[in-house]
Amino acid sequence: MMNMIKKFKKNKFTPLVKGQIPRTGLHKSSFKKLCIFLLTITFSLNANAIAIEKQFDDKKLEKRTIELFKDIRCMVCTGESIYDSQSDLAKDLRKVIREKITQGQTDKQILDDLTIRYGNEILMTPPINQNTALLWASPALFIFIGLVVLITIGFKRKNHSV
Amino acid sequence: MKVRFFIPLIILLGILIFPAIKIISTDKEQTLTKPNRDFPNIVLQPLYKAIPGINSKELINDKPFLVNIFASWCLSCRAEHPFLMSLKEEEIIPIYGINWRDEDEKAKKFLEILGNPYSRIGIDKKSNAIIELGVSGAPETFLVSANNKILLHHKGPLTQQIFVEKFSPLIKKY
Repeated sequence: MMNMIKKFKKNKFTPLVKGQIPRTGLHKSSFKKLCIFLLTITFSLNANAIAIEKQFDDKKLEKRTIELFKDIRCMVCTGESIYDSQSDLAKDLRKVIREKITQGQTDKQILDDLTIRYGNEILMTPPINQNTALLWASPALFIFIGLVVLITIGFKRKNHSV
Repeated sequence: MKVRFFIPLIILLGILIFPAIKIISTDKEQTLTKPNRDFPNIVLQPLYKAIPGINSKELINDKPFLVNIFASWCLSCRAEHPFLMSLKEEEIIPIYGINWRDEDEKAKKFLEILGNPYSRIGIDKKSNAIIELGVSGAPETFLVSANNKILLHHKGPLTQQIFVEKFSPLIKKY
């Protein structure tokens, strides 16, 4: 491998070995292995923590539970929902929520309870109310501002010949 | 390249600075004073036979108290512990401890080595009480008023400065 890098740097073009992919240092077989390796890693990242827990037998209920998990933020791991997270707190929270679902609580009840205890940050989708109106509107707002800027600059360019 | 090509990038960075700062700074320490809610109904088994556990029904006091979440695996808990000991020694305010997701032997060892500032200790192995309180890490400390309302929820180690600035005024008031 180091030899290939050295030769590359020195700009020596060695004649192609049979099976070598041109302009890279790679052989067809090693390229195949590299692809398989990368694909395996990519898809194994989707293996999630929930697979080893006791799930509901009722498929519909389990689906609802999973959707609920995806909507709740893990408070100790930035950006992950408790569905994705492997942390202890997420594990315990999943168990507690499963218990609550077994007791018959609705999604809204569970989310409201959590919001009272942890604040709005625990929801993946922030609630829609007066305070968060600006947050929800900001993507559209930015696009609008961007378009205005583009058009104004476009007009300026047309009027001054560059 | 002329400077004006970079203007959109500069504007974007300027806009992004605010959420970036918020995300980076929010996590570790903060003291929350949300609308005062009641101390939730929790029952926790005691760690030691001689020291009572935590039972919300028994906690109706005539004075405010602290609830401190701690564990032997938590490094910052060791850092704040001396301050908790000083609070206990000067008898400023009763402190109840919740031992979170810990092993009894390790927790006892922790208290043996660093001292025990708690007049009540409850064990929470499954995070039931922790979730009721809205705890997301250790250490965290709650200031609860005499009529069981949560006045403060401090995340992170409790220091003298924070206690004097945030806790003391409320303790005097309630």
